[in-house]
Amino acid sequence: MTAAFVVAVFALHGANFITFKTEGDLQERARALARAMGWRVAVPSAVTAVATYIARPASLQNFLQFPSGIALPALSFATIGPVIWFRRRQCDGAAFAASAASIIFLMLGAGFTIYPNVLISTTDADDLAIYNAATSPYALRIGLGWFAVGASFATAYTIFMYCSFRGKVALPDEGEGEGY
Amino acid sequence: METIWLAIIGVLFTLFVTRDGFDFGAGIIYRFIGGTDAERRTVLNAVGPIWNGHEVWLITAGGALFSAFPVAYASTFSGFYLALILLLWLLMFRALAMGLRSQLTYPMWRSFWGTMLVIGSLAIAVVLGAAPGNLLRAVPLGRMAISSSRSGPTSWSTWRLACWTGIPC
Repeated sequence: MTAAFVVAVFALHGANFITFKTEGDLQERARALARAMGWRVAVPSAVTAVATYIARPASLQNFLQFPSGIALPALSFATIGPVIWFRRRQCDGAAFAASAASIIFLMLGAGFTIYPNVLISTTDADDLAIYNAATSPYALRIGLGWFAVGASFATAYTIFMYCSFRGKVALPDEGEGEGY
Repeated sequence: METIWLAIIGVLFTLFVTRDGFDFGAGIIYRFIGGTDAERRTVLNAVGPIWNGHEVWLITAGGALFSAFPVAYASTFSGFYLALILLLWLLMFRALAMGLRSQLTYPMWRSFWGTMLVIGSLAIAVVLGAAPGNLLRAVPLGRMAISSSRSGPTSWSTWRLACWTGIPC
C-alpha cells in the first residue's frame, strides 16, 4: 500500500516539475496528468495513515504523548489541497513547491512516529533507539564537524547545479554529443 | 547529540526524496506525456543534468547513518539486503536507460530504453515506498524475533512478497 502511495506521490511531483520546466503541448499534457493525480494522491494518503495504525497501533504513541505532533501528518495531507488549487490556476512553480512541501511533512511525520527509535522491532526489547544504536559521544561530536565540511560542499554543488540549469528546457540538437 | 544526528539523517533523506522524487516521477510518466520523440527527449533533458546530483544526498544520508548509528546501519543493510541491492541495480539500470536512449536514432533502440526507464523508475518508487511501510510496521530484530518468525531465521534477510507491498506478514 505504501509502495502504491509513493508511486502516486512521485508521479504527481514529477508531473509538477515537468510543467515547471517545459512549454507547449508537453506542458499541457503534464498539467492534465498532474490535475488527474491530485485526488489519486489525496485518497491513498488518508488510507495509508489508517492502514499504518491498523498494522501497528503503537504508531500513535508519540502523537498521544505530544498531540501537537499530529500537525505533521495533517499538514502533509492538507498541502495536497494547495497542489490541486495551484494546479487549477496553472501556477506551475507554486504547485511544485506545494507537492514538495507535502513530501517534507510526510517525512517529518514518519520521523515523529518512530522517534526515538531508528529501527522498530517486532519485540519491544529489541528496538534500536538513537541511544543504543549510536556510536560514542566523542565520535558523534567529531563527526558533526566533518559532516559540516562535507555538507557545505554538497550544498554548494547543488546550488551551482540548479543555477546552471534554471529556466525552461532547451532541447539540444541531435548529434551534438550532449544532452539526452 | 544523538537527536541532532537523527535530525541530520532525516533532513538528508528528505532532501533525497523531494529531489530525486520528481526525477523518478518524470521517469514514470515519461511515456504518458511525451507524444513525440522530441517531447520525450525534452522530459529527459529536464531531469538529465540534475538527477545524479540528487543521489549525492542518498549517499550522504547512508554515510551519516553509518557514522552516527552503526548498529542501525548494520541491521538495516543486513536485513534489507535484497531490497538495497535491488535498489542499487535499479538506480544503475535507470542511469543506463537515460544515458543510452538518445545515443542511437533507431526507433526500436529508443523505444526499448524508454520502456526500461519507465520500468526502472516505477520499480525504484515501489522499493522506496515499501521501505517506510516496513519500518513503520516494525521489523524482526533480535534473536527472539528471528527464532519466533514463521519462516525461520532467514526471514529477516529474505523478504516474502507480501512484505514488499507493506501488507502485514
